[in-house]
Amino acid sequence: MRARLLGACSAIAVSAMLLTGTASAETPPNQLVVGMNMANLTSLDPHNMNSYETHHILSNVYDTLVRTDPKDPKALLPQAAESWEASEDGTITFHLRDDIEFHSGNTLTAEDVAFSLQRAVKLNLLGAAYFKEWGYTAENVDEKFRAVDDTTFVMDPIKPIAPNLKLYVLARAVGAILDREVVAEHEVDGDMARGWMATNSAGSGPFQLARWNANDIVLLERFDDYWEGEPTMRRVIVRHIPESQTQRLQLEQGDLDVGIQLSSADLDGLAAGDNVTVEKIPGAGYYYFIMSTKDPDLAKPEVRRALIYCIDYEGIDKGVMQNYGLLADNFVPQGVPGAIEPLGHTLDVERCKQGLADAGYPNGLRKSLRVLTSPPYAEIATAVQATMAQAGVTLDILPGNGEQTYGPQRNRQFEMGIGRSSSAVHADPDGWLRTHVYNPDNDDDAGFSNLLGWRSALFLPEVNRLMDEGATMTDDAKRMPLYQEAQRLYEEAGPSVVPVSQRVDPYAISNRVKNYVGNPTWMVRWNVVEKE
Amino acid sequence: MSAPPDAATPTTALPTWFRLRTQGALGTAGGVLVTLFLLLALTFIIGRLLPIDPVLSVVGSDADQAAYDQVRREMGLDQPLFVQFFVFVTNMLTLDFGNALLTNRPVIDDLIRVFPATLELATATIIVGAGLGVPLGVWAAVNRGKLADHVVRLISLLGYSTPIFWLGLIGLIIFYAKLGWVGGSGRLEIYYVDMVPDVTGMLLIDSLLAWDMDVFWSAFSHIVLPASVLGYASIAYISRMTRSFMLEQLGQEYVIAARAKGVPKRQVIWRHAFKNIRVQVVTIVALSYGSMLEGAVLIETVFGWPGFGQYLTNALLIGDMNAVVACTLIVGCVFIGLNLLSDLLYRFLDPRTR
Repeated sequence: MRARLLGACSAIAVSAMLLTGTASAETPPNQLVVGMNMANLTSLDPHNMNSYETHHILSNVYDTLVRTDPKDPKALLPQAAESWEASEDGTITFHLRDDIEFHSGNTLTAEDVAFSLQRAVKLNLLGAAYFKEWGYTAENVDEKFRAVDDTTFVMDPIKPIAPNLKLYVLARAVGAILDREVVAEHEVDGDMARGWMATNSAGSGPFQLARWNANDIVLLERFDDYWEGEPTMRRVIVRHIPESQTQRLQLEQGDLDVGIQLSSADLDGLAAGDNVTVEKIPGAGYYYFIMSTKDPDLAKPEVRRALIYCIDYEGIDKGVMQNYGLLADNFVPQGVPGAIEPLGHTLDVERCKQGLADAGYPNGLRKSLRVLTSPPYAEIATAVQATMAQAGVTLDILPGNGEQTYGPQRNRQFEMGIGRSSSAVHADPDGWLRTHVYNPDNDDDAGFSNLLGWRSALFLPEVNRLMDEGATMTDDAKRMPLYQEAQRLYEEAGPSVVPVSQRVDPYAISNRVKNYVGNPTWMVRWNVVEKE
Repeated sequence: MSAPPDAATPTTALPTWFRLRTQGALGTAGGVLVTLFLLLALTFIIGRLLPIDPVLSVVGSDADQAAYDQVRREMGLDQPLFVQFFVFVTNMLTLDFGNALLTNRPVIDDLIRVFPATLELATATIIVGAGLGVPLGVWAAVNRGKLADHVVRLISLLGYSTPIFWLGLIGLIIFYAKLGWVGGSGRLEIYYVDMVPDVTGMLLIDSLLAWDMDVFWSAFSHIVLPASVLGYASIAYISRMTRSFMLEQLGQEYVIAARAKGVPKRQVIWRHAFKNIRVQVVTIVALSYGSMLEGAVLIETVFGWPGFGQYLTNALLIGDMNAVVACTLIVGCVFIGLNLLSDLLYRFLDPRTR
């Protein structure tokens, strides 16, 4: 008996020793390890994606013509284009560097740029939306996107559009420059290599895509001949870690350098420690409250104006949004050109009650509110429900998945909802207002399901006109007053989409990592990252 | 009475046992095929009833209608339902599971990647679960009502009632974060990725084949905790079942007779009583193993284990029916296969079934 006990004890001791021998070491100094939930990483084709996570990968695999300064999203910096000029009519001429090599060894020329942007339009997928707004179609891009010679690329306008609006979009992943020869090699039945590009890359960026296994791992290998110089890191490894708690443990252990999408509680826990810093980047979008004006009660501007004062913006900001958003009451963030004075949205139950009574609803209303089940959406919804109830407005919360929440919005068959938007142009009021307010055609079959203005069916011709006019001007001093006027008109009309909080994209980063610069446009570059 | 001349057909020339065997085998094969077809049809119908729009999973909620419609057409979702089902079944017959929604790569490639990870974890788990669960069950039965029995009961009650993801997280906090005895999430230290050639997809075996002990220990230290946590849950089940089978045998007269004859206690327990419950034990172990092979979603999520369970769940969440159906078929095949295997083992272990 005693012998057996002794045997068992020594076996345990030996195995413990073996395991300690293999215990976790720190990540190697020349590899960056990033943890994220990859559920939204659905395709690596720059012309068919729009998620936060995918931008991180693509901005390291591809070059764009221009980029925005991460510290100041208004400032445009050269990337593949050394310089550019815009003429009065909106034509933009880019002068490219002549020393950029693709991963395949081919030289990047204006032909590749023309091909890439034409492909974005012709595929008619997610990447086509902005180009379509500017009037480009599959029929006209071949002549409008021109390579004059190897290093000169010209974008002819269809209608006059403020050049910066185009440049801000071209600085994001949709403006990625593809190696047209490699793409041609993988084309199947005229699909412009869509099948192949979903999981492969044809870029010139600082890293090459070695492997992507969906919901498992993305491996990026250094591209030694990168024109800006050899990246510091030999590899970047992005791992799928769906459980926030696990990400946090790995960060604390030093097995992870960067954690993206941690839960609020874990971010607070990490921020309290010594080895990890939490950064919060003001993001490109809003958490919003939306009302459908197809509903006969919500069609009345007085009702919508009253309901604005039934939401406790400050309370939601303090109680729920600590790590998710910033207090906001307008769709153009303060500090962006063309922003107007704060609108003064605040919780005022008496004013809300009075407004409803004046509109003919002394006994309040009853509406359904569609919302995602995940944080912070569900928490925002319960907060809104509680304050609305004080004014006699009963909200039936309908929790659901993305399809159940956004599907009815996209089909214009809902009463109220809570959601989150994303906008591609940060430094200009046009992008913000287009996403949230603009509604060019109020027909049910118009198919503008990407625009919140259309989803909520609020049609304001004057607001549209001001925005259309603003977009076609090239002089900011003349443009901005138009956008400011549009914002005031929208507020007076009784907004159907009400901002609750400006989105924030937090991430946690180990203090061993240097030169990691978060980017509000999500185009984070890892080539200059260093580790101690 | 002479037999009619045409009675001498080739079939009757065959021995009777052969005919019965082939009929039996054909019957089994037919049953398997019908089961699989019903499984297919059911999965297809459920997939179409789910309130999940695969198109929206691909294009995201901010897409305009034109992009949405284009992707919907490409997926063939604009076709009538019966056409979709017909296309779907004909593809299945040629073993073409189609492409995964996310990656546009053949589902079969994905499965070849994720299934070995789960197979490895399930096998390690069942070794822990059966290796400890069966002896514990026997020990509890022999010491019925004594301290040992209560200890085993407590162990299995805890195993039954503790949420497994919680156990996994606590295990990570203690053994990985505090003590540093085991690896964290994933199957390997990240810098060992792609170090050994991929032969079986099971890292423990692949690293041994390449004789790369660093990778082997890294893989070992990553599998210990998830396998133990999962194993603990199956110990609970296997030990309780074994205990009740064993009690039934220990109350039989032959046990008393053997003890009266002076056969040593240990010999009675293992040679006589345990020998008679082997068949039942094999059944429950096989069922446990089968449910492990479905992938343990919670544990795979907590440990970032890129296995079958996670793959199936993600496919379900985005409405990727090609992947879901392929996974369902695999789970179906695993259970059918394990059933057949248990049947064979019965014949081997129990002379009465021969």
